[in-house]
Amino acid sequence: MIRYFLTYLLLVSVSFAEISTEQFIIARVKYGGGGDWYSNATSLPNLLKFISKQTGVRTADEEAVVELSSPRLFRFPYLYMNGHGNIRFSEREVQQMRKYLESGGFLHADDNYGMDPSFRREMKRVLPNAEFVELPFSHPIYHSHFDFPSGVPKIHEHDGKPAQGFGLFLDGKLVVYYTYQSDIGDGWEDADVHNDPPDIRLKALKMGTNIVIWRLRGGQ
Amino acid sequence: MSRSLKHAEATLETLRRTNRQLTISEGVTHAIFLLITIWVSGIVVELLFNLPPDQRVWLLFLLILGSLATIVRLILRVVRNPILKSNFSTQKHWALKLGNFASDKLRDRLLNAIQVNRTNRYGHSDDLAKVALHQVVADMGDIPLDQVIKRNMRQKGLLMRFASQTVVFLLFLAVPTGLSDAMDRLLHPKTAYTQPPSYTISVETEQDWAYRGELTKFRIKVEGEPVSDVEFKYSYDGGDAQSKTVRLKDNSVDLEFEGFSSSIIYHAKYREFSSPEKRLNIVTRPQISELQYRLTPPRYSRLPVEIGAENVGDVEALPGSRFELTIRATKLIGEAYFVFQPTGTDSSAVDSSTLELSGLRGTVEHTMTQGGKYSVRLRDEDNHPNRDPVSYRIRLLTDEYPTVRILFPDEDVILGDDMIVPLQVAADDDFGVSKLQIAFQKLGGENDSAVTTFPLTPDQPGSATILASEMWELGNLTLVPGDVVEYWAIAWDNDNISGPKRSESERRIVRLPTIEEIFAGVEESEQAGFDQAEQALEQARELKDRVAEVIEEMKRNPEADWEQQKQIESAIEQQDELQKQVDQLKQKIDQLVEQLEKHDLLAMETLEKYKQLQELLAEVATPEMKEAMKKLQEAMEKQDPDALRKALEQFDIDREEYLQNIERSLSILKQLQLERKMDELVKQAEELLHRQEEILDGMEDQPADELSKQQQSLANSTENFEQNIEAAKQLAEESGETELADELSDLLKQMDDKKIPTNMRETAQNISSGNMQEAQQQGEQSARDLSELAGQLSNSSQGLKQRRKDNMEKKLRRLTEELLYVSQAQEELAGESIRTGTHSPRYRGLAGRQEDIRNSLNGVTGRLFNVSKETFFVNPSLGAKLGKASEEMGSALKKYSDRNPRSVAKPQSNALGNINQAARQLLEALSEMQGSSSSTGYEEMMEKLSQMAQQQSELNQQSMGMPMPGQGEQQMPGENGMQQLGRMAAEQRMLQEGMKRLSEEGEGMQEILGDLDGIGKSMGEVAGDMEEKNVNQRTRRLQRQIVSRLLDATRSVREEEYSRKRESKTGSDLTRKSPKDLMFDKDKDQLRRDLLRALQEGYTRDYRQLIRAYFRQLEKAEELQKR
Repeated sequence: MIRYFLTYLLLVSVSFAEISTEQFIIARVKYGGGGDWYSNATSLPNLLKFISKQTGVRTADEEAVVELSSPRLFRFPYLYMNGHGNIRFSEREVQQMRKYLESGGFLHADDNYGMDPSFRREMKRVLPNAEFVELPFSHPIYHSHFDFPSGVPKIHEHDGKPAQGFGLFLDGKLVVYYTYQSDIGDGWEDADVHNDPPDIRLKALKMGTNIVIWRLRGGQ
Repeated sequence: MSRSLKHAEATLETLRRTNRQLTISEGVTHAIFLLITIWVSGIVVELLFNLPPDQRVWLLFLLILGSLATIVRLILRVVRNPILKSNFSTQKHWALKLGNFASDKLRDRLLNAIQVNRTNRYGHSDDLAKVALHQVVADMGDIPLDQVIKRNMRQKGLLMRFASQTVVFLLFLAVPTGLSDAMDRLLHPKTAYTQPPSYTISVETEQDWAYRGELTKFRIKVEGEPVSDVEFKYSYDGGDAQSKTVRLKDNSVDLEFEGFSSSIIYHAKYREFSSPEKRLNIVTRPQISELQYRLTPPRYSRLPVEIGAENVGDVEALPGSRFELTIRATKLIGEAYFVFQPTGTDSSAVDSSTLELSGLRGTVEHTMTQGGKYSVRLRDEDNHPNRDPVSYRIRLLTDEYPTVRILFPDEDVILGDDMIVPLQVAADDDFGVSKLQIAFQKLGGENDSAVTTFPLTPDQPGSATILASEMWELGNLTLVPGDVVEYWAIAWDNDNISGPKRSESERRIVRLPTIEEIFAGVEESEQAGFDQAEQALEQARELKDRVAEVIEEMKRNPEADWEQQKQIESAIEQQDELQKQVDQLKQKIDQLVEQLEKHDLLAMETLEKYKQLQELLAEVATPEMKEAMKKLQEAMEKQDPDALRKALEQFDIDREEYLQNIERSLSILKQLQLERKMDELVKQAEELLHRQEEILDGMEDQPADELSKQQQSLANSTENFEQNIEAAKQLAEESGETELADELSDLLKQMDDKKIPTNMRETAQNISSGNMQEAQQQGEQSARDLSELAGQLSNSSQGLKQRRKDNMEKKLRRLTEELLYVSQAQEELAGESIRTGTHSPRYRGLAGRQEDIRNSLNGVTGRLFNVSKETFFVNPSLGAKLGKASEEMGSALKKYSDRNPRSVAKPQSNALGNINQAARQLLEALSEMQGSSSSTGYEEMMEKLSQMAQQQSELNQQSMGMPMPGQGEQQMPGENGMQQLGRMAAEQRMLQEGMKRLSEEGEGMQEILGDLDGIGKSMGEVAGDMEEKNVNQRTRRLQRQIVSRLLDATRSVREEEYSRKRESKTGSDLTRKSPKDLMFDKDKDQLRRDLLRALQEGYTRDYRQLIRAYFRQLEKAEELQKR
């Protein structure tokens, strides 16, 4: 228990050191299973730039890429993963991800249309006792910097279902935020990638900013 | 005489005789020749001159005379020729002849030998003379003496004959008929002959050659008497002669032939007259058998190299294109030229360049800078040119100007709070866009700011069509409300030949609206919403009446006649029209909400109510209503009177609900109007305060004129604000909110007392006259007044909402109690009914009680409906449940009448179930409402923050009276002033401590409160300045900032309180409801929780028992359901 506590302290301090002394960076999760972990290539740099402009938060120009089994994982307070295909975590990755989340880490997963079943399956392995819960529109994540009175915006049609934002909670703390049927990651991409209307892109970038700002404020 | 001598002399005699014969023959021949010559000459003279008869006689006489003379001359010549006589002299003559034939030596020897043997004049030996003669004769033996004379004579005769025959032949050849005619005329000298005409024909061509296949001209001329036609004859080499009769005019004609394939011999002929035969050589011109171009467009265009189709020379090209032309000729060419004539010039302006030749091929390069036409001119080695060189067209393509347009926003923009304008710009060019920019300038009448630009990053740089998106942030432009920024897009093409061309898009406007403008827009939308709603309501009522009439009519006359059908059709149409009105109403409300949301003009709570209203409007047309419409239409089509009547009745019932929904929407909209108005006032007050603070901040460094204008404008806005408060007061009075109306009256009175606008105008004057210290004091006073005003308005606004909430809570509680009472009564009645027999005296009383309960229920339902018009907490579906319960009670009443008490149980049970469900729903609504108004830590936090803001404001006021360094000696604080500063510093420290505690208490709420530590730090700095007795401009600015940030934090708490309240109830947005609140400790036994909550509401003991009983019943029902 002491060991766990010390590890936690160490990781948190490392994480905050990263935030406070350096630029804020989002780490993209490189996962196995064949899914396109690398999709939406231009999205994160755009989002980081937008956040920097809108909030004054110093952000890195580019994202980092990290594997869940890597010790570097704990250097990043904010993980992002998306894709269209299958996701598979190795046993080591499952354990390390669990440790990461339990230690205060945060993951934003964005379903790019197609990763939903495997993502839910793998997250069940990571946090067996946690269930995905849809966040109410009143959740601070929808109001941290910009106001989203109707929750996560709908960026792409997909199945035509309403966009939903789910959360996985650990002891009441939101550790995984999962945007489903929204595809805000597509909205962060360069305008010419999906030719989304500018106002739709703006919504996506604002929502992305909200998630980051909520997280940076220590949101739970 | 020796034999040799005789032989020699005989030989010579032979010679003489032969010669005599020949001489006579020759003389005759000569005479004949002469006669022929004389006569032919005469004939020719006659031929040529066609002499008249008298002259012809003379000519004939002369001819005869000449002939006689010739004959005489012949005779005399024969007679007088010595050679014909036989003597020595003749021998000598013949010896000479013979010697001439043989040799001079032999001639001499022969003569000597003859002379010696004949005379022996010198006495020489005879033998020797004989031997010599013998020797000479021997030597003569080999000479054919006959031939010597004959050949000589024959040659002469032959020559003569040949000459005469030739002359005669030629004459006959030349004029065969003419000669005979002339001879005939000569032989008849006295006969008068008519002279036949004479012709000379000539055929001329330009030159002795012509081009193959080309028009060839011949000019035929006839000299002589007029001739009507001639025959033109020609023949190809080795071919048959061909002729063509040509009609002459004035004895000449130009004869044209389309073309000859090879050389010809030609002449013209008229009768026996003919032109000389001539030859016309046919020459083949050089021609271009193949032509092909290669076009290399300028690099910037990125167009591919174009290879033209074979023998296609027309070309379209961009300026700067390289044109390479290759030709192949049909024959070897000596020289070739590329001849280019620019458009609009004459042929003298041609530009010619030489082709580089190689065998039959030639190439040339040309850089296209102008349009025009070109041809290739060839000359073969004999300098023959190609015929009519084909002229090809060069069309110079124009590189068009790029087009650029702003796709998004597609209209002028009103800036929202985020100060971001998402832009999407598209540009097109025929060959590529090289650069794209946004240019903008702040408009200010004559004082437009300089144009600023920023680049856009296109998706595909350099391509012909590009799209660029940008999130344009205008936050750093320091815009103030009312500012207008004009912007447009500029695109450049990639023409590096003529220079990049530039186009601009249409100009658009971004406007940062003033708060007055925004609210004016909101009120306009709101009023439009009212109008629409009232119109819809009126239509709905009319329609209801009409439907009722039709139903009545149908009851009287079940068979729907044509008029009834028309009425029903009209009703359906009217319903459609009504729904359109409702849709338009919803649109108006959507616009309103969008405006309010965009500019963050409302408290979250009010905004949420508007959203609920939107949802309500979306559901005005219930599924039942839609189904009823469908059935009505089907019944109309089937022409089934019974079905039609039923459908119409159902339609009428559902329309009732429809009407109620519209009424409810309108009612809620009116209710919201006042709340929105109060939010507006709060917002306006904050805005005015903000503007005043900005002016105060600007007093240090901004131009006085500008500040004065701003201050003046603020005074005007404040006056408008007063009017707005007055309008809100009236609205409050109209809405029956007397308490609020009184509060607003008090506020107006305060404003009058404080003369805020007047004070502001004085401030403006002081600023413009340079009296900055006084202006600052006045400005600070105005800021304090406005701050106070904003706080009071905020309290009034909250108070209004709270009062309404309390009022609604009371109503709901009462309704709940009533419903529970009805439920209990119904439950008791049901139990009693089961126990009571039909013959019991109490039986009749049961039916009466059921009637009473039903009436009570209907009363509750009516009141519930009225309440539902005022709140979203009560859903109209509750009314439907109660309506169902009432219906079941009616059914129970009927069973009572049928004296069937046992069958009463079922409808009574159903009625009870519906009542209970409605009661439960009502309790939930009440619970939500109570939860939303319960006192929380947030409220305490807000209260503390408000207090601190108030204290800080007072402290600021005190410090404003303190002199600042740099304001002169007289302004330095005295001893009292120093003491006062000390006290103020202590107070500021206390406030700082308080803030520290508050910050600690608010841990976890940083996101709501903002940087409380930062406020505390500012307080520390202010306290430090006071402690150092150095209250300066910076200190005052910090003080203002502290108040401002405290007010912001207070507002944040209010909003977050609302946000937290939302978590306790189901939220909704335009498309879907919010997911349920997050409840990690969710109690599975919902009933128990509801019960506990209900029990905690402070009901009386009786009610608490009733509630317990009710929930027990519900619990049982749920258990039964589970089974």
